Amino acid sequence: MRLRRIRARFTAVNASAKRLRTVFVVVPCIFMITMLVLPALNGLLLSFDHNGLSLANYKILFDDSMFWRALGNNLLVPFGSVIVEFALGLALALTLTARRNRSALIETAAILPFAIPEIVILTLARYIFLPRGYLNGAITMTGMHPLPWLSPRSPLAIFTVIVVDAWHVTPVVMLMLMAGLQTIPTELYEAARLDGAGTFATFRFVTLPMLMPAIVGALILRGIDALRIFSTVLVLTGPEGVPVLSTYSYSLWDDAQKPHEAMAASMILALMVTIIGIGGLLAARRFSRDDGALA
Amino acid sequence: MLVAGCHTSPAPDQLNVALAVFPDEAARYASFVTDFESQHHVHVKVLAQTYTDILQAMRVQAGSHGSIDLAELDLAMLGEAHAYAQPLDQVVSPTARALFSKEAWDAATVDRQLYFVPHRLMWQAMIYNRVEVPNPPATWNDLERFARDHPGKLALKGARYEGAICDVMPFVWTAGGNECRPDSVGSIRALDFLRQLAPDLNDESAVFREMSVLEAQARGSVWIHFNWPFAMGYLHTKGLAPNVNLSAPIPAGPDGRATALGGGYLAIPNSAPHPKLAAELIEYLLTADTQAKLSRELGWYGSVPPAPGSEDAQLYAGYTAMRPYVRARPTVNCYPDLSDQWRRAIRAVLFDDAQPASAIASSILDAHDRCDCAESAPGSQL
Amino acid sequence: MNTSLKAARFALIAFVLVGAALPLYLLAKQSMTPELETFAWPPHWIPHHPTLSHFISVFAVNELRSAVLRSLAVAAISAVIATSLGAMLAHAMARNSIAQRLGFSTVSGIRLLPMIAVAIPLGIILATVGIYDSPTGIGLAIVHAAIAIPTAALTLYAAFVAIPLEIEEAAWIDGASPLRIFLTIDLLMARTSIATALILCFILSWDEFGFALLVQQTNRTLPPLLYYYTVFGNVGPASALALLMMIPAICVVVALGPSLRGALTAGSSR
Repeated sequence: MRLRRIRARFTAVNASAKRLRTVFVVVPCIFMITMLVLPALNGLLLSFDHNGLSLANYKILFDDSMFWRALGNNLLVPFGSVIVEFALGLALALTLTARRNRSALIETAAILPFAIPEIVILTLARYIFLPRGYLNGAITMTGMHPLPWLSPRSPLAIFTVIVVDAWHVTPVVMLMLMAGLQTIPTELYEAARLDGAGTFATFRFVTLPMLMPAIVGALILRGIDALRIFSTVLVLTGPEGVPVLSTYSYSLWDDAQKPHEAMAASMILALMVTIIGIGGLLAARRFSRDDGALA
Repeated sequence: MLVAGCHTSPAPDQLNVALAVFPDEAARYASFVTDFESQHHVHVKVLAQTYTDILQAMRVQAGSHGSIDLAELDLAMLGEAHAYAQPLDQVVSPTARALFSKEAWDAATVDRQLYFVPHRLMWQAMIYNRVEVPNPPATWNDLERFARDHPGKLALKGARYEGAICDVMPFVWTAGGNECRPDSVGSIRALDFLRQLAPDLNDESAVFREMSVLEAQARGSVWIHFNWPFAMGYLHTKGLAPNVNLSAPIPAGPDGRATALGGGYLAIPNSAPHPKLAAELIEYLLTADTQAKLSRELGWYGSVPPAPGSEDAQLYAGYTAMRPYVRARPTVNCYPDLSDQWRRAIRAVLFDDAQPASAIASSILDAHDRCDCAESAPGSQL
Repeated sequence: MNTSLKAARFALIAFVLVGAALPLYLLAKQSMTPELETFAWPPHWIPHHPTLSHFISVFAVNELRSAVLRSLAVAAISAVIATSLGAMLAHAMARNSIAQRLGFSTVSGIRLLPMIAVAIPLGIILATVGIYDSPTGIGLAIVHAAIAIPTAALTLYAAFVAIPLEIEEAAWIDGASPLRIFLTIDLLMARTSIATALILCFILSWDEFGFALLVQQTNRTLPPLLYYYTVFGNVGPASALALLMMIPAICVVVALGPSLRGALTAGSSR
């Protein structure tokens, strides 16, 4: 009798639990979709609006040499930024995980560039890299010639933008890789040491393969984020200095008062991010150890 | 009282004025109109917005009941905005007309009807570093020689925005060219001159705007550039003017002198809830007393020249000298297309080393870009 | 080989320490340097005539005070909304595999959206509804809540997964409704993660620049305000403002420390 009651109770509760779960999934998702996806779809529609349905907005973009520069930079800068982030992040993760270097101070210092608001870092970076900024000031003091770190005519500007963008985000990569490093069983290191492997060999044959899933996961997340670069370029160089698709779109909207063309440019950016993002996610499936657990 | 659409009617005793000022300036402006408020028993609410947002609001409210009684718009927007604004011929008395130049009023007139009144007018002059450049260039030849002798010390506002046009138009005008005819002889001549200057311009000219070039001037990276009166105000507050930087007239070209008019005009939107009150506010603003007070309390240089011998006179000497040579960009519906064309041509000439003729030709993307506008009258008496 | 590796490690750590300290020093120095001296060339590494006037102006200027209040309000409101909705989503994801996949897909999909593709049309929509550029920043708060939900959900997902199903089942059998179980048991057991999620969402909103720039054109929050101060050539006030903006974030990092690690890797995004 009691068992039947329990079973009946279970079924009833199960049903109401299902209802609650549905609400718990639907409400947040609808909220996100309404606030973010619907406007983007609206933007997509508007990008095809040029006195009626047409592709004219896109054609105008393709005729603009700055659009192509923005497109190229939008691939070059994130690529460079991710390389720097990962090189530095991996080096830091390895260094800080070794027991000797465990220090709260160093860890906090390593995380600090991420904790500080991005706009603050960019403000400071601007004052450092200006033609008469701190870096050139230091260089001049040594008697050497100052460099055009942010000059729109110089390829050095792309390098500067990459470094500043990477620096802000390196702590996150470091943390992700540290989390990955900690899942490597210490027995493997013991075994490698007993086999006579040196530091580099251990890294190549033990650490790196075991770290691959974390690296790939972090690569995808950071790569997608890097593609959406906006404020770094806006603050350091302005929309014309090192154009990327987001600042190009912003400039079309704000300076040129052309919202439809701006939407077209932003849609191309969205398309690029989607293609690279989905491509990356599919490639990651082959690397991940746990199914679907990329977070 | 039924309210149409989702716009709420403002209270009967409130006038909504949308100005392109900073929120702080809005607070000072509000205290400045207290006289009007007590005279007419109204509350004037000053809304600080950007020009583009104000224009967008006028567009959106054009067909229906609006919430803005008085809107400030940039000179470059007047061509489009006149369709949303009420004619103001009746509001402006002859004494009020005398406050501003014919040029300024012409820019506000479309199809022989007046749609706007000048609110905050300004024009450009040359800002120069008096320590490094004791004798500022007075002609095109001087300017070219300066650029050649000091590469990177002359800057233009070359970003992809309207400011680039304000820097270049004076060269076009003083070469006898016309903003409506980019392919005219004078325009080509001016662009040729700029092409010669291009290699010696400061590198960052491609991204410079009003404030960034001004900061470069403050830091000494740039010794000469062109800017609006607030540039001198900025340099003065930083302690860099008049001891280091001063203003001078824009170098004269083959056809004389010219400078670009800019600034804000006021309009009463068609959809304004209290058009009569708004008109009275305009009448209140257009008196010599109020204009002088405006300049003084809000630090705007423009309608009333500074007293001779004062520090302001020294700071703004270049602007006072350029007063007779102010020219407005055309107030036509298709101005945005014309402006786009010029921006492309200017950037091609300055930064891609293009020949002026081919730059102009390729700046026209399709037939829709052709903008028919009347030639603007040269010179004016202010 | 080992000594060069040691040297490399040392150089890296030195680089990190200098890289963290130098920006703080330069900003602090700049915030205390009078403008005239700030424009000197070559730059002064130590201010010759230090002044507190920039900090005073930061507090005295109306626009800055209202920007601080607006940033606080927007961050607080969006953090609460995002954490609430994120908790709901995370719990469903933790208890059901379909929900989990749906949740991860939505969250990942949302992260693909570039800010500029959303912000421009969103601004137009907000203007139609009447909350564009509002003095209270309510439009921005709602947007920030939407972009922070992934962070909150991913942070809380791990916490809810860690709550044993048996505890919930025991409460079921005792007669509690699923909602009651969620509110009284799950939320209580995950309270440290909830605090972490609130803090992360707060900081995400406090730091956010792109949407704030496009949605609050004149009634600004702190990041766009700092941007305008910087590009308007007000070096001293900009530096003072930048320093002040760092304070919440630094406090949080120093206070939370190691527990931040997992959360940061889970939810951080541009």
